[in-house]
Amino acid sequence: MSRKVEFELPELLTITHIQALHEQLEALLGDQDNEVIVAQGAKVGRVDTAGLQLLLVAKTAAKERQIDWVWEAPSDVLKGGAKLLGMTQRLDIH
Amino acid sequence: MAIDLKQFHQIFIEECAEGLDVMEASLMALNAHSLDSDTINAIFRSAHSIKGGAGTFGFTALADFTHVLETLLDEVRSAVRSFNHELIDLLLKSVDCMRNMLELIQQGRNEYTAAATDLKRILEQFLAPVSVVTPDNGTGSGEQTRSHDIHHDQWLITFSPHKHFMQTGNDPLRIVRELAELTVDGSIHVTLIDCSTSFICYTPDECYCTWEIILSGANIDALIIKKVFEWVVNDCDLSIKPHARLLPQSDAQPSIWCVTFLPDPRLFQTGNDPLRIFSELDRECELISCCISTQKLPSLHLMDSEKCYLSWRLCLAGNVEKSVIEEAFEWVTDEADITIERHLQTSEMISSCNNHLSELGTIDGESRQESMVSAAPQVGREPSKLSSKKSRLPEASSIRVGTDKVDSLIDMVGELVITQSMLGQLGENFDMQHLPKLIEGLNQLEQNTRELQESVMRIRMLPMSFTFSRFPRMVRDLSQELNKKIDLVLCGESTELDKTVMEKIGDPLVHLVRNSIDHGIESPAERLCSGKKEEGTVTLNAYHQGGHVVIEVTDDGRGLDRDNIAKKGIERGLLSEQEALECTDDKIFDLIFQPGFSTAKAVSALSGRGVGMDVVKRNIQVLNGTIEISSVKNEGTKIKISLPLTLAILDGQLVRVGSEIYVFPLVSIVESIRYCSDLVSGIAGGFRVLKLRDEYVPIVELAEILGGKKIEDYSAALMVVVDCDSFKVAMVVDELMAQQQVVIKSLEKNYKPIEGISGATILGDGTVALIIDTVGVVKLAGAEKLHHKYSLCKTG
Repeated sequence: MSRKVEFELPELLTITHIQALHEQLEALLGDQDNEVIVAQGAKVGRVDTAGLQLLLVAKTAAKERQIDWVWEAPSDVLKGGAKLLGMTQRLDIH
Repeated sequence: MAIDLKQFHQIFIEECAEGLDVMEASLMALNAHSLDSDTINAIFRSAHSIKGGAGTFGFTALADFTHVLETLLDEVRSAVRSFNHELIDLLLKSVDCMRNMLELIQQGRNEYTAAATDLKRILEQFLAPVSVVTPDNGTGSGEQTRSHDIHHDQWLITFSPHKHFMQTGNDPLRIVRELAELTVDGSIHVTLIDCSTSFICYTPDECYCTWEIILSGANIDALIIKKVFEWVVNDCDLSIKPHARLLPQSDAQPSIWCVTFLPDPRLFQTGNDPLRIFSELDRECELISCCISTQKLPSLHLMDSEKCYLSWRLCLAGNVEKSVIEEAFEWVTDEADITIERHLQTSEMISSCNNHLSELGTIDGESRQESMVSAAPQVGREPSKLSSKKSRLPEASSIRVGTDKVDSLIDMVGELVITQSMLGQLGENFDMQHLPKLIEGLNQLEQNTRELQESVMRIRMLPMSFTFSRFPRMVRDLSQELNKKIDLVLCGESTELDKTVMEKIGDPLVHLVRNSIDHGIESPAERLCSGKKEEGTVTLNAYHQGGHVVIEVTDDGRGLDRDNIAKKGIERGLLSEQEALECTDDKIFDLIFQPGFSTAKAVSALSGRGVGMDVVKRNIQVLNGTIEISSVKNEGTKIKISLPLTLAILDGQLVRVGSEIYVFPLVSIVESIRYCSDLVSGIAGGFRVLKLRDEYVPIVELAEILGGKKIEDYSAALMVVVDCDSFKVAMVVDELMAQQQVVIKSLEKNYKPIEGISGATILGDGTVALIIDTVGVVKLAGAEKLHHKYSLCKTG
């Protein structure tokens, strides 16, 4: 049975706060039962390149492991940062 | 036999750079109202030498450009042409252009830059024969330059009435109305650019405003505009410029700038963030495309989230100078490969390029990127790879050494030869009765060697004026830009510092001076209100103190706001409210060195984004230096940088770890204590911390990190407590040995870079000892993460 996991991105998606997120994503993507990951981005209030880079790697890893990655209400800050860094298409975040 | 002139190119480039420095310094020293013939002759001679050299070596572009400039200078020195601030600006811009062209020459390109093409056209307009010669109107201004008769479509007028302007019966409104009347077939656009006074200081009949007026009209020339201001010229600051000069592209079309940005993986660790840079660029111009390359991205499991694996190619559109783009990348030039190329476009081309790019979207694809680039016309391509020394060209590959220093070296070598000859004679017929003589000879040899070493080190020393000389121009430009009056005082210019240290301290100093001007010094009106003189002072002072060179950047501005900094610190979780009350001012001020820390309400083009001070501190720490800040509200701020005289020799603490000897930079050691198991506690993940008085400090097993055997018996062990940026770390060693100066040998040059090791040295017994890079070791050990993860802080 397909399993959908929701996880909330932190308010501060920056280099000093992403270590825990990295571990959380590894665990989520390492769980073979997970088939859909819903990334809730509404609360993201600050991003930097390190934070977006981590999401990019995680999104790529999800694709490789045939896990669907779905965005839920990504904040303008998140979308704006992705746009400036040329990641919109790759993150499929609109 | 033909001589290969290429062998002289580097010398020519260096001499040119020196000539341009002379031109810039002399232009800065010139007073437009009382022309000093010696100074103007010095400028002319420099230009003439550059032109001659460029012609000799076949650098025709530079020779042609300088020829026009030289003609203009010749007219000034022979009093055919009057000299004014406008002309000084033009000549300073010419110096900048020549530096850029010299940079191209260094890359083997005999070309004009786009800015040089535009500037040459403007210089030729200055020199163009006049259709109508306007006689001197008797005002004594001597402004009958031919440039007045050149009709431009647009004029930019900066009009800043003096405070008493309205008390003399004049009214800025009347002036603006008169200007509007000139524009029968054009338009007038008035912008209030400054109105700085506080309500308390406000006096109704005083004028506090400055306006920028753009006047458009086919038949307007500078003389007509000046007539409007004829009666108020002594009661205001006035600048009248052709507006086209502000838009270097003759057709006023925006340029396309293509930027390739390949960051070093360590980029994030230096406190830099591409997102911030791109946001800044997006504010200055239009970011029409951002193509990302993700080829180097590792898997999620292998990724180190603090490393950067991405690279970008950006396309920007807008009427911006290259310097604006360079400035956005200013702090990452050492941590990235950056190329900036300009493509002059017609509007159709831009539109076509936009369509092309919108099709591309943000998809990463090298081949498609290439097709986009090749679609852009290759006209007026400008260089090039950014260098971290962009303002002083070219990168000095040689040092000019005073003959006194060379003479002293020759004397030393003479002494050495005599000692060697004496020892040689002793060796030929040696017997034990000559032993005292031998010992004396060896002592002599030691002394000679030491003196020789000191003399050679002195050769690498350059006067601080090498770095300070860039500031008068910078301060002048910034004070004009910000409408502030600033007096720059330079002291201790003859203080000498090692060439390498000198080259690396330039950029941090630029940042500090910019901060002082932007945030420190108040506007003239604000200063007058605070009872200060209108003109702010920024002082750069260098002096020797205890084997170090101290550089101070002082301003008499508004000072740091302790409460505001503390408030921001509390908001960012850097300290508690209680700590904010108890901390000394110095501790609070130190917060501004935290990454991303800014209390500025508004971000300006110069500063205020909270980026930079952390990088300044890191750059100074890399040089084994320290930075301190002191400030008094409303009185000013002093930043004191202390640097070692040279990077070639280090004050070190020798330690033994197992059977190996390592060297700690003495400056990084806070204290050393005996290992006491009562003070050590284990925490999750197998880490241990030391209770050092009222704080917990992560413990790093140096032997383990450096690939040795972990210490089994801690009873005799010691702990060296080092300062690692914002926290302390205790490193376990077996034995503390001597403190001594060590000569640093580069591992990168002689072997390969090793994480945690900054270099090596050869000890007296001939063995090699590695020099510990404390920050690197801490990172390797994961102690930094440990510190953050468990929020190790004061126990109280």
